[in-house]
Amino acid sequence: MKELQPIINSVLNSYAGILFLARPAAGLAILLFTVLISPNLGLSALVCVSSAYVFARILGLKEDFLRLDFYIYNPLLVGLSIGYFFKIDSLSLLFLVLMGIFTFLLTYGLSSAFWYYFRLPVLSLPFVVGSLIAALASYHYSNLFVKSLYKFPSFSYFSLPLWLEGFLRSLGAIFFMPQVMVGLGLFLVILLSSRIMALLSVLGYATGTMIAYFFTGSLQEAFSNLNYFNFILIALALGGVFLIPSPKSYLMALVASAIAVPLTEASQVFWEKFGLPAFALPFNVTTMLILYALGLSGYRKLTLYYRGTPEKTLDHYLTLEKRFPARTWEVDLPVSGRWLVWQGPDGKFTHKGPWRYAIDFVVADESGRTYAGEGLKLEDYYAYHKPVFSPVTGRVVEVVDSLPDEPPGSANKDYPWGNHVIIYDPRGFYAVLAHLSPGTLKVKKGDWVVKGALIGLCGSSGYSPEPHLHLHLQSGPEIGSPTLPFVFSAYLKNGEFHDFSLPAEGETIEPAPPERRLKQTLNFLLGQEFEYDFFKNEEFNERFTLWVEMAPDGTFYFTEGKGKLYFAQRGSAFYFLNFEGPRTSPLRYFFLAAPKIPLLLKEGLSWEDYLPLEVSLGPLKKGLYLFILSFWPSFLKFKARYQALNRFDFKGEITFNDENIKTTVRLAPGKGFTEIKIEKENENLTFRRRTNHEQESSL
Amino acid sequence: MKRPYQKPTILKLQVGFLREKKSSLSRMVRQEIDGVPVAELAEKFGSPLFVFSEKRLREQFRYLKRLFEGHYPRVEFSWSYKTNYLDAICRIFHQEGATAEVVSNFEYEKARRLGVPGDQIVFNGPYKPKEILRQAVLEGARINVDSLDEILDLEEIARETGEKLRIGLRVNMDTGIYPRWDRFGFNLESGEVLNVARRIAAGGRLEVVGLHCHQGTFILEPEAYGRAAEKLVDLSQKLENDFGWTIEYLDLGGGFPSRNRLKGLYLPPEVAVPPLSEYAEKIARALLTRLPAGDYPLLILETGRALVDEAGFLITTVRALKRLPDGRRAYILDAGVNLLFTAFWYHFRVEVEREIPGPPEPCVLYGPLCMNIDVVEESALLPPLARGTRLVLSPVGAYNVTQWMQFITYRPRVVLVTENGNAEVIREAETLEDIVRREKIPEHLK
Repeated sequence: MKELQPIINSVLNSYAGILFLARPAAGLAILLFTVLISPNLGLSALVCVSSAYVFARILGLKEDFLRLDFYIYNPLLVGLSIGYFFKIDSLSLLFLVLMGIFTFLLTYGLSSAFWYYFRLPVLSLPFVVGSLIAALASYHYSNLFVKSLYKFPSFSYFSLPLWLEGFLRSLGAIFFMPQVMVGLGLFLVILLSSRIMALLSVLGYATGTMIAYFFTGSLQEAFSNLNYFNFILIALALGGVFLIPSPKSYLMALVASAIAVPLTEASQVFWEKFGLPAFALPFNVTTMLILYALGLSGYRKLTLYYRGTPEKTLDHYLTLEKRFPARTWEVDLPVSGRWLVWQGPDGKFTHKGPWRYAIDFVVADESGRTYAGEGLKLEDYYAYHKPVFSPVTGRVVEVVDSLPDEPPGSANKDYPWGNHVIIYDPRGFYAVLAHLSPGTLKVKKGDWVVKGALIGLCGSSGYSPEPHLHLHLQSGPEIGSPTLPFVFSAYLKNGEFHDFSLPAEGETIEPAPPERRLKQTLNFLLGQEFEYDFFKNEEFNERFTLWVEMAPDGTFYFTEGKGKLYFAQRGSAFYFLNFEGPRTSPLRYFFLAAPKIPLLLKEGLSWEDYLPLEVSLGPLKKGLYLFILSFWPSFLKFKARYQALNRFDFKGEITFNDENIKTTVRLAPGKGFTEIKIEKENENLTFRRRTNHEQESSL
Repeated sequence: MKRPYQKPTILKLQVGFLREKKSSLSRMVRQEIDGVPVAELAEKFGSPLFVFSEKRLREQFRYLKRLFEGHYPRVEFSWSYKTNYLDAICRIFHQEGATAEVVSNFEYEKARRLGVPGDQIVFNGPYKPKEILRQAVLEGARINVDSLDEILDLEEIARETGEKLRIGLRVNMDTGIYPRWDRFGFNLESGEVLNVARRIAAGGRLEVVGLHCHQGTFILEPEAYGRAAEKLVDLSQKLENDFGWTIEYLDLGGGFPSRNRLKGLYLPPEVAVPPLSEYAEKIARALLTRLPAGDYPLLILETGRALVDEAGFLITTVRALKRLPDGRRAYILDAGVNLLFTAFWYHFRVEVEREIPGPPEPCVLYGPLCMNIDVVEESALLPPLARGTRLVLSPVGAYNVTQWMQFITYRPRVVLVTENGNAEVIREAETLEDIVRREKIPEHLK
């Protein structure tokens, strides 16, 4: 039974996946609807999806892979459509199996091609194609027993308002069961899983039908057109699934539902000519077009990891993705000391068009001048002949080292990049450092360099009116390839520690190299144990032990048996990444007190961070907050500011709407946390590491 | 303006750098310090008078910080207290981000009194009394050990506290310069450092986290710093490999020159003293090429003179005129070697408060002491000065207000010309009461 669990989950998820939910329970509910209310339909679907699944296993695809529900929800939908037209007998069973395998292959191929060429999900396009093919083929298959259409048992014993009935029937139509009861059931499933989705489904349907009503002039017609389920799917997909839920994603959902109206109408007319239903083509076309446009235009809030519901995705986005932007590459600052961002991305001089993601650095003094004396000689410029370091680890693929430094005020228009180095980063991009001084390059083509390795000295070669350093990432190995967005893994700005971000033009920043001691202090290894005494309002509460374990994906976490607190050192800071576990777990407070620790603590250094809602809120409140946040992102007045007191101590203040929490942390120079204090309104919590000596010697 | 009458004389032609606007001859006059007239300062605060320029202090610090940080990512400047530990001066450097480098109980206590936290103090010096050593340990100071006996003291303190102590080792080495300062710390070439390290590791109570060396003072050879850095990196890697320690900092000490004119050097400081950027380059290049990329220990620099010397001036007044038996002119000033300890090392720049007519001629500047050694300048080239003329000596910012002595007279005021041009007293002149306050007369002498 235990081995069957993943398979069952996978099949159930494919049911839920049609509504963009990743919950086996929801899938089970939908499965039961289909089988109980229309056994013919339900069994057909089950046969089709099972054949697809079995075939996928024969191909050698593993459970992990098949967990991606869209691979088999397309065969499922095709099964539903066949079951809708044909009665189950031995012949139609064979047909179902064949179409199931075909649709799976179609999904497999199309999804890979769509992702490769367009970075788009395949959605239910394979279903549209598959069921059209099934319908077309069955023209000549007279041996298949055609059920007479519209002969469903009707449960409409009570009369509903026209719009509600229309909405529920359309919802049911997604599963080829355009009935009020089915729709009601589905809506309940949605509502229980996600309030955001429930709202979106109503909004999408209302928008689409109202627009249709304006054109046709008939409410009756608008509310009885079952193809309008497309509007619901569009609203769900754009409002909450493929975009991070936000006012903008909601607007996008409404706009998309509206523009899908003519498309739905047109495809219905077109396919009717051939006697075929229109299926979900409008949904697929509209959603893909909008996603593609948003992707190309660099929309920042595209969902990277859909976590099962929009709420969960939003929480993930608000915490992890805000803390570690995943859409851009992070590189190290290639200089030492304080440098001024002379020209940033989309700069006013040369960072335009395909070269917009670039940064120019100069050195300026307190009065903002970049040179001492009169600035007539290169040597007058502070930046001149300062070392330049590699921002990435990779292989040097190009070195130009023979162009002269241009005297101040002049520029070489023939070789604008001047002396430069191109380094290939195995993550899949090229880093370019330009305008270096001739004869100073320490690397040659083919060298392997690591982050922070000395590359050469800053110069003024190429199109460079004064000595400066140019940095960008590009997609190809040729100088001048289109540039890619990037962030710096860490830097200091006015005594503040910043990470995974880019400074703005005119800001002065300096690198934040980690201190060797703190790097060791916060380097926790498997098998290490730490014993803590927990005091509540100065009274002893409990004693617990933390130890380090490794998750299957290679990340490490602390656990005391109940909760899991994931951590990592990245760049110049130590991070708590994620907390899983009950609210009673003391690990939650560790996260609260130290979500991020720059590895260069020093009196006065300050930094900010975001905390996941689950660290600070109970489950009910969290759901409510997320719902509100999706409309009103600034609703959460949430601030977590931390400040170092000296090399090993720091304090924090977390303001959470009206709540205020104060924290202090003391690190042990040897290893780990010595003491963590949490001051809330009505309670003081203290976690004190037990007996320094014993701990130290046991390490 | 009508020029005053001058007696006709024949002069040797002085050829300076013609294109250099600041050639030595035209620099002979200084009417103001940061916009405050010399005459006003002297009249208001008396003569002699030490004057420091806040603007110069801050500018020099920022210049050095920018310079070194531009070459190496992790640099800490530790203000060398012995160079000038006046509270106001220290405050300025601490505000700019310098930590404190102290060498004695007095300096440690002074730094703490100024509000410098223990973990921002570097504690050097060949003798650290046990009490202050214990305090420094408890307050988390960086302690650089000078002798084996000090290691024994520290082990005892470690036994008391029950914690492993992190210390720095002071190392002396051959970097190709003379004289070699080999009395501080442990010798590298003879293998003494490694022996000591073995002893420390065997003791099990201490852990070495830093290396320190101080090669000397007023070092005119930037390459010496490069060599010192190389040797320290090699040593740190050996210590890390052999004993499993983590060397968190490399302290290259001080010794960086100011643009003062060292006695025995023929060339003027603009030519003879290499620019500080060369020192920065040599040190950084040595470190960056030897250390693994991105894993940098902290570089600590204990610059004193290079930061403060050129920000200090001494206003002094001609109190008497003399003609020596050999025919040279001589002047008695109200400031001598009692206030200008560095007069033994440097030829100061001597400037007159206003343009004085008459041919410059060689003369001797004496101080007010009744001793033969009290010579401020054996051979200055000055026009005939009248009694009461004020002179401005510079650079005098380093070492003088710490090594000055109260010998037969009082120590004068020290003022700071602030960034917005006000002159503020930062040390009052001594009075008789200051000096006799600590004296006691036994009963039978009363």
